[in-house]
Amino acid sequence: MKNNFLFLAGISVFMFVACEDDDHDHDSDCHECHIAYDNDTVQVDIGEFCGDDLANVEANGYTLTEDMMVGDVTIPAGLYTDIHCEEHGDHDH
Amino acid sequence: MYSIKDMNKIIILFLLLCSVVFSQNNAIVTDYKKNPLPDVDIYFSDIELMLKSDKNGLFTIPENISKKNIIEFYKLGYESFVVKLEDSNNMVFKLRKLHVELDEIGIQESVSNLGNFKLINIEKKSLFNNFSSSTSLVDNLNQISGVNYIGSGLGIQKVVIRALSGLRVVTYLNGMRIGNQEWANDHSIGFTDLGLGRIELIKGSTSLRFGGDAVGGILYFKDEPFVNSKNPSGFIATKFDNSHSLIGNQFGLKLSKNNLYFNLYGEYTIASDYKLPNNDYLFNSRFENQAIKFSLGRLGSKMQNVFRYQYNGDKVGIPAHAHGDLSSITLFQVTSSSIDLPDDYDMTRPTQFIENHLFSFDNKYQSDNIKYNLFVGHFINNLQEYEKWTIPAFDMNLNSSTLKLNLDYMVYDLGINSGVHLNRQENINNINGGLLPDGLSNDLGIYTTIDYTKENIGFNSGFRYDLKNIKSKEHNFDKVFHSFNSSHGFYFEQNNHLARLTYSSSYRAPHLSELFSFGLHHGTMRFEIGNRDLEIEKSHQIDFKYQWNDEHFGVVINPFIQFIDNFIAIDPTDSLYSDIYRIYDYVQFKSARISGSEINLHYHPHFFHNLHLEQSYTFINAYNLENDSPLAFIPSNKIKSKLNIDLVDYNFPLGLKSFSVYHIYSFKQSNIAEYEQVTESYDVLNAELMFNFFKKIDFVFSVKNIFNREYTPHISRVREVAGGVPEVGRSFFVSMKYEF
Repeated sequence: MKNNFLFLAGISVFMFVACEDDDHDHDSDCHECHIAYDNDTVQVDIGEFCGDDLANVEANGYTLTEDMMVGDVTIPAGLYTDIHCEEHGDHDH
Repeated sequence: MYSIKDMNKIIILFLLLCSVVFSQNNAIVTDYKKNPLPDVDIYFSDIELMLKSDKNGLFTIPENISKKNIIEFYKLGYESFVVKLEDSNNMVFKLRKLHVELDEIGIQESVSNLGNFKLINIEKKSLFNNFSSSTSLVDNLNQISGVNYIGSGLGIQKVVIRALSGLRVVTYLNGMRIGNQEWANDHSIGFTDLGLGRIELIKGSTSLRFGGDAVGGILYFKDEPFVNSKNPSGFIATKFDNSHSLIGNQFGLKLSKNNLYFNLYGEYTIASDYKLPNNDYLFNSRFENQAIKFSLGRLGSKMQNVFRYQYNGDKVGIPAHAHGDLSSITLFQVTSSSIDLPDDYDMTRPTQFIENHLFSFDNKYQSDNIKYNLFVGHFINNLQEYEKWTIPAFDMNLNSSTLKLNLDYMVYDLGINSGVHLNRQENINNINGGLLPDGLSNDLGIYTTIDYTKENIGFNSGFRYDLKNIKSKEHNFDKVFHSFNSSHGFYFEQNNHLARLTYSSSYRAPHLSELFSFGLHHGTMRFEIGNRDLEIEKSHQIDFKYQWNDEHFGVVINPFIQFIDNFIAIDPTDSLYSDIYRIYDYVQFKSARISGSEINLHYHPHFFHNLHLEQSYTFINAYNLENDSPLAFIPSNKIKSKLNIDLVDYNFPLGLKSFSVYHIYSFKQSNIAEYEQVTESYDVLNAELMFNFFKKIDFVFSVKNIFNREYTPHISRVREVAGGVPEVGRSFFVSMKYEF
C-alpha cells in the first residue's frame, strides 16, 4: 500500500509540475507578422517580432514608411492596424 | 448427495445466518439459484456510498446507514433492483439473471437524481471506466440514441440532445449548474470524465426539479460514490490516442475512516492536431487539460454533509481559423502535412484559455417521513480567447451561485417533492469592447411534484414557477421574465410491457448573448447581432415510451413531439461583415416544431448468450412553423449499432475479456435551412478489444474509423469551412488502468 501511495504521489507531481509553462507569457516568443491588407487578400510581410515589440505591433499597428509592391498591388505608406502574427496551418505544405 | 458447490452455498448461508445472530449488518447477494454473487455494486443512494459484495457475495452494511435508506443493487448481466432497507425482511438479496439490457434504460429499476425513473423518461449511462474505454466523455454520450455533438476533433465537443444544444441543454455536475459560457458552439462542456460515476439524461423539457432553461434537456453528471473500506483504494490510468497524438493520465484515491470519506482525483492530458483521412492534420485542433478534484464527506445515519471542490483548466485551439471568404477557403489553407512533436503540443493562436473552479456543499437530513436537502454551490469560470498573441479578443469572468432547498416527504401513498431554487449569475468583462456586455441575472424557481406508484400503475404531476431578472447597465436593460410550467405523466406496466406518456412544459429566458451580441465571434467565425426585444421561449412536449422485452429480445419505441413558441434562433443573413464573415441575426420565430422517434432494440440470441446486439434508430424533424421551413443545424437521422461478445468464459490468451464493434450510419441531411448545404450520408465503424492482463490491470485496444471514411457531420462546427473539414481519420487508441 505504501508503494501505491508513493507511485500516486510521483504521478501527481509529474502531472501538475511537468507542464508549468505559461502560454500567456510571450516575452521570449517571436512570430512572423504581416499586414492584412484589403481584408487579408494581400499579405505584406513585416518581419519577426518578439516580446514587447510583438505586443506593441499587435496593439498599435505598424507604419509603412514608403510604398511597397506585393505582386501587382501597391501598398501605400501609412499606419496599418490589421496585423496578423498567427499561423493558419499552411506553413509546411 | 450434495455436491461440493451446494455444500459451499450451505456453508456461506450458514455463516451468514450465524453472523446475523451477532450483528444485523451483514448481508448476502445471490442469484435466484442461491449462488452467491461477487462484485455486485451496492449503492446507498441517499448518502452516495458504494459497497461491493466479496467473492462469497457477502457485504457489511455500515452502522451509520439508517433503515430508511434506499439500496440499489447493480451487476452487469443481472436485473438491477431497488429496495428500502427497512422493507427487507432478511439480509439475503436476490438478483435475477438478465439476458436483455436496454442500455441501462428503463427496464431496470434504479434511483435517479432527476426524479422518479418510472414516471419520467430518464436515461442513465455508467461513466466508471470512461477514461480508459472512450476517447472522450462526449464521444461516449454520443452512443445514446438521440444524442449528437457539435465539434471539431476531441478538443471542442458540445452535446446536442435531439435537435437542441447550447443554452437549451442544461448541465449539472453533482447538483451544481455548470455555466461554461455555453452560448457559443466553440465552448465545450467545461469538465472531463475525471471521477465521474454516471450520467443521467432527460431528453426534452421534462424535469421540473432542475428544469429552468432546460428546453432541450438536462445532463446530470454525478461523481463516483464514496466507498467504505478499511484499506485505501484507487487507480492509475493512462491512454494514448493517435488521432490527436493524445496522451492522458488520471489517478484516483478513495479513503474512509469511521464516518469520514475522502475521494481525490487528478488528470493531465495533452493533444496535438488531429489527423484527417488524407493524412493531413487540422491545424490548431490541439488542446490541453489539467484537472483536480476532491470530495470530503461525513456520512452519519441521519445527516450527511459533503463538500466538493473541482478545478478544470483547458487550453483549446480553435481550428479552421482563416481570413477571407470562408466558402472559398481550401483545406490546404487550414491544414498541415505533418506535425512536429513535442513542439506541436504547444498552444498557438487562436486559442481559448478556460479556468473553472467549482465549490459545493451538500447537506442532507433524513428522518422517518421526510428527507431534506440543502445545496449551496459556487462556480467561477474565466474564458479568454486569443487571436493575437498578446491581446485577448475576449476575456470574461462568469460567476454563478446556487442555493437549493429540497424536501421529499410522503403523504399517505403520495410521494411529494417540493423545493426552492435560487441562482445568481454575473458576467464581468476584463477587457473593453467584448462581444457580450457585463450583466447580472437572478433566478428564483419554486416547484412541487407529486408521485403515486402502486403495483403496475403510477402517475406524477408537478408545477414550477420561475422568475428571472436580467440586468445590463451598459444597455440600460432591466427586465423580469416569468413563467409557469407543469409536467404530468402516467405509466402502466403489464407482463413485460411498459407504456409511459408524459406531457411537460418549460421555458427559457433570452441570454445576454442573444440580447446584446454585436461583433465578430472568432470562435464561430460569425458576426453576431443580438436583439433586445426577444421574449421568453416556451416549450410544450409530449413524449410516449413503450418498451417490451422477453429473455432474448427487447424493444423501446419513443416517439415525441415538441412545440417551442417564440423560438430564439441565430439566423444566417445574406450579408457579410468586411466581405468575409457572414452576419447572423438573433431572431424569434413564432413557433417551431421538433418531432421524431427513437427506437432501441436489443437482441441476445439463445444459442450464444455471450453475444449482445444493440441498435438504435433516431429520426428527427425540426421546422420553423412560421414559414414551414427546416431549422438550421439539425442533426441527421442515425442508426447506431453495437455488437459485444463477452469472452471471459473462454480463457483466451492475455486475459481477453471482450470484443465489440460499434457502427454509426448517418443518413443524408437534406432538410436544411436557407444558406445551409446538404450533407451526404456516411458511416463509421469502430472496433475494440478489452483485456484483463493481470488481476488488477485492464487494457483496451481499439481502432476508430476503420475504413478511414472522410465525412463531416451536418452539425460540425467546421461544416462551413472549405466545404466541410472532415472528422478524424483512421486511428487507434490504447489504454491501461491499474486498480488497487
